[in-house]
Amino acid sequence: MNDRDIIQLYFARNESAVEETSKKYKKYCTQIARNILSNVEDSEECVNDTFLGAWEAIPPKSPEKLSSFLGRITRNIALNKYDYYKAKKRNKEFETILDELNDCVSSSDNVESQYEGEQMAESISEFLQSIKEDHRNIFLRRYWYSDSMTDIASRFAISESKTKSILFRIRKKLQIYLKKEGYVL
Amino acid sequence: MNNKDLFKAIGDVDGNLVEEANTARRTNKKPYVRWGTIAACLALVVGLAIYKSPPTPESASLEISKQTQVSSSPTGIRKILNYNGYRYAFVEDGAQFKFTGLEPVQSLGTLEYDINPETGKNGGDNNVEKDYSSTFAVGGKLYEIPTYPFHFRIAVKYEQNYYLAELVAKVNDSEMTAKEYLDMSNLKERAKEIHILNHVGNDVLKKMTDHAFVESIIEGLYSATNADLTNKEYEAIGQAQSEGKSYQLQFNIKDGTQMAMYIIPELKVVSMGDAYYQLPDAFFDQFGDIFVGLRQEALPLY
Repeated sequence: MNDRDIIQLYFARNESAVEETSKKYKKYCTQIARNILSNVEDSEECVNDTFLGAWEAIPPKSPEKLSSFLGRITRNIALNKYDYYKAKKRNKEFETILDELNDCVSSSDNVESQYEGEQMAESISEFLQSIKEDHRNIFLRRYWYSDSMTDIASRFAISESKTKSILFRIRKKLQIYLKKEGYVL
Repeated sequence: MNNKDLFKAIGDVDGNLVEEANTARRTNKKPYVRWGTIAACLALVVGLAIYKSPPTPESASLEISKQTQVSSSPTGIRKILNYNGYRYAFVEDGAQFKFTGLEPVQSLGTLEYDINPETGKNGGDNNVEKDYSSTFAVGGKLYEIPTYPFHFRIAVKYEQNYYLAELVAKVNDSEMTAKEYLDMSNLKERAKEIHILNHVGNDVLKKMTDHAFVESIIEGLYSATNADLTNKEYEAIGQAQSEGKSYQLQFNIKDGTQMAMYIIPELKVVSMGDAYYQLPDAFFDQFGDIFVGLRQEALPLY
């Protein structure tokens, strides 16, 4: 079933919307959750919550891209769950991803650094559109899909060392870009 | 803001970009291994050498020149093949080459398995470490290049055209020593000149043509040891590249082709194939001067 038909089911409040969504996107969402949580049970719970979240959000929302819409919900739920984890249970690979993002921010939580999330996402999109397509995809695989270095290297048929140095360079560029755009990082 | 805020903000980027990244398997062609581009000019030099001196078997018999310019494939997947436990990258991203003098005759087998994630069976994942698997020219036949007895480079004949592939790593990603790499490439015997270029390889900054000097630099490279790099060190390499501190060492080979390494004097590292190696202080005591005063522009920001 195509995405438009699925969204119509949501608008008609037809419960098969969830079933169809699950058929098409369960694997996709589960992978995103597992990259953040690493725990199978928690990931499954997270994906079920995602579908429930979609049911509540559509309507009024009418997502343009159902895949990234669902993936985004999964990411946010998984991140909240991750925060509840004790240090022992945390996923080391995901911890590394967050550590890498520290390159771009000062890690302070003060009021001055509050930002408009949507506005910043727009700036990041603009930045990503300005860099090479393959660099953009590598960046998103790492920081949107939370893929491991090994997975990215094999997906793009490059060495892990190259992956790491590409990501490092993009993070530095992103930091400079966001500062130029006036964000207090 | 903290890293989680940024992670969340990234989550809200344009859905189209996210969807593209979901199916993408695209990458740049490797910037190094860009030999053959000035083969036509070198052919003249080789010609002169033949005229001036009694022909050595190699200079008289084999010359390899590039026939086609390849634009990146639509999928952008790196063109690689596995042979004899080694991974080879297609030279010049799969450009066609012409052999003059000697044609490859010694067959080394046929590329049987498609490991291209777009076209291979099961996404090509099953055979990724198997010999005779490839992301390009599947069905092509492998040949020994007469002047490369150690198979550092091999030829691929596919639909009547020749392609070249150069060894870049072991298939199981186990370490390769600098000696192993340099011996297989037979660089000491085969390199005529070394040029130092900027990192991207479009600006020659220095030329070293004295044969004894060229040979001593290559001997010096034998002292490199496998670098077990930490994340921090990889980041330092990335930083050095973007700050214009990484140079390309281009070796001009007797057959008219080239091969390349990257060197970062400040970090004392050099790349051979897909790996980085650490060079001892003694190397830079001896050759550090050749990098003094070289200027290259930092890589463009975007």
